[in-house]
Amino acid sequence: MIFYDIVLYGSAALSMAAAALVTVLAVRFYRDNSA
Amino acid sequence: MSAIDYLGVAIYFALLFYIGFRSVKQVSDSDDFAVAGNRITWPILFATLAASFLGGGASMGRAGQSFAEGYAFMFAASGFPIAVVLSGLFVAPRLKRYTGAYTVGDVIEHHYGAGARLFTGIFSLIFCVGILGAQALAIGTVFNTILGMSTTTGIVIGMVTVLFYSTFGGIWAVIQTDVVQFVMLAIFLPLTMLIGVHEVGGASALLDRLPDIQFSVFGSYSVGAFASLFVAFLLGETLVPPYTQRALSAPDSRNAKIGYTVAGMFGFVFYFVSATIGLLAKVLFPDITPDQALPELVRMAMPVGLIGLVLASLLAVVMSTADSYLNSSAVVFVHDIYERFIQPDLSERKRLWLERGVNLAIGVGAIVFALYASSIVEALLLSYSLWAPTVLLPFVIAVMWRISSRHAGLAAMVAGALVTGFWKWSPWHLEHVTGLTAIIPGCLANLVVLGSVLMIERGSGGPASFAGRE
Repeated sequence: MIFYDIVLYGSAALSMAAAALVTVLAVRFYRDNSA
Repeated sequence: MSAIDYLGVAIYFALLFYIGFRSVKQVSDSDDFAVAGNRITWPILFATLAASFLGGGASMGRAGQSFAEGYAFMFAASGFPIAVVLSGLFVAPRLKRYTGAYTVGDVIEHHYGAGARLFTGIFSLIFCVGILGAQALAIGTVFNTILGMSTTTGIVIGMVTVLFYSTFGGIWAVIQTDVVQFVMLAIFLPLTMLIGVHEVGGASALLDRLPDIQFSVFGSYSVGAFASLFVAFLLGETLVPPYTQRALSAPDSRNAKIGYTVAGMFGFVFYFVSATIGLLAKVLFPDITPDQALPELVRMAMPVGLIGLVLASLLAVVMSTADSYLNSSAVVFVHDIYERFIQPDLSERKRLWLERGVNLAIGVGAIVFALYASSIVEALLLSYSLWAPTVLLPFVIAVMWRISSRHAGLAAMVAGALVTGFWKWSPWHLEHVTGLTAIIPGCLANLVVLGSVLMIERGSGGPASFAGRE
């Protein structure tokens, strides 16, 4: 039960963390490439 | 849907058009159009690759399959993210050895000669146009199931937007829109899952309200059927033209390796989220059909304001796949077929405009097929089961072990295609009778012929290798 909770909420957290990381790094990438 | 939901969808489309306008300035030659000037660092590569391979099948399809069969289908389908991780560790970094390469065909010609390249080019084109047509139909389905809009209008709105930014901005626009689309799908689909879990009454309530078989690894599959499905996912879509093009767009091996590996790992997370959405729909709406699992959860459980953003995310899932296959179709036609075999002396300027023109023509063709001749899309999609038994294994083996042969590549491709076709479509229905998916005997034939021709060539002192263009 606890394992399933961890997988369920952990997967949502991981996915959103990936979105946040990509946003930050993509902004930096576009700034560098449009300069 | 309320006005604020429509506003969310409108902002998403406005953003795609804005990126399309901005990207025009970044595309000055064919290098920019096809491989983004080889400047795609790993975070961007990760986002664009994940957005490309996570399409309608990985979202609505996976949710529908787990609605019907539980997590078992997700476990079998995890062969694909495993293949992406393995490609990232072993194949993608080695692709950066091929300086100036744009396509799978470039690499194939280096090892197996012009005939194998032409086969790869024609086959890649059919494959990409087939998937593009299928994604166009999926765009129409999303508009129809959630907005209640006609499928025809949905296809036209979605595909004209994709056509606009991909024709003018090439892979630069595709990659930038993919990043936006990745961020949306990585936020709003897990959010849909969390809201669904809340509606059901928590994770423990979900476990209590469905039979144990829905959560088991094999479900109702026999071990053989599960293994067959796993192999089909492991090989079926691995290193297809748009994904290989992504690895070739990286500046170096390190970026290609990290981007690919992280994208593969993200695939596991996304598959789990989509499959869980299917199980949640099974508890909340047991009487719907499986393909309605995800749209129904969005319609019934999402609060006002979020429906529009989740709809935009679902559109992002299919549009980011469609744009990648559209760009690859244009690049493959111009680079692997037209320039190589019809008019080799294309100027840089002409090549870029030809790529844009072909991009536009193929996109319009895909819209017409999706609207008026879906049977053509189905026919083109038959090529899906032929990628692994024809091009994949000779491609991976050549990249890994640097083998070269004038005849082995083409012979193996033809043998793989014939055996797969016979297994799948002969009057004896071998796939059905044996329970063995056609990809397995096709790949075996492909490998046996590749190995045999290589040995014959070497035994007769023939050309074990020849001058390539690496």
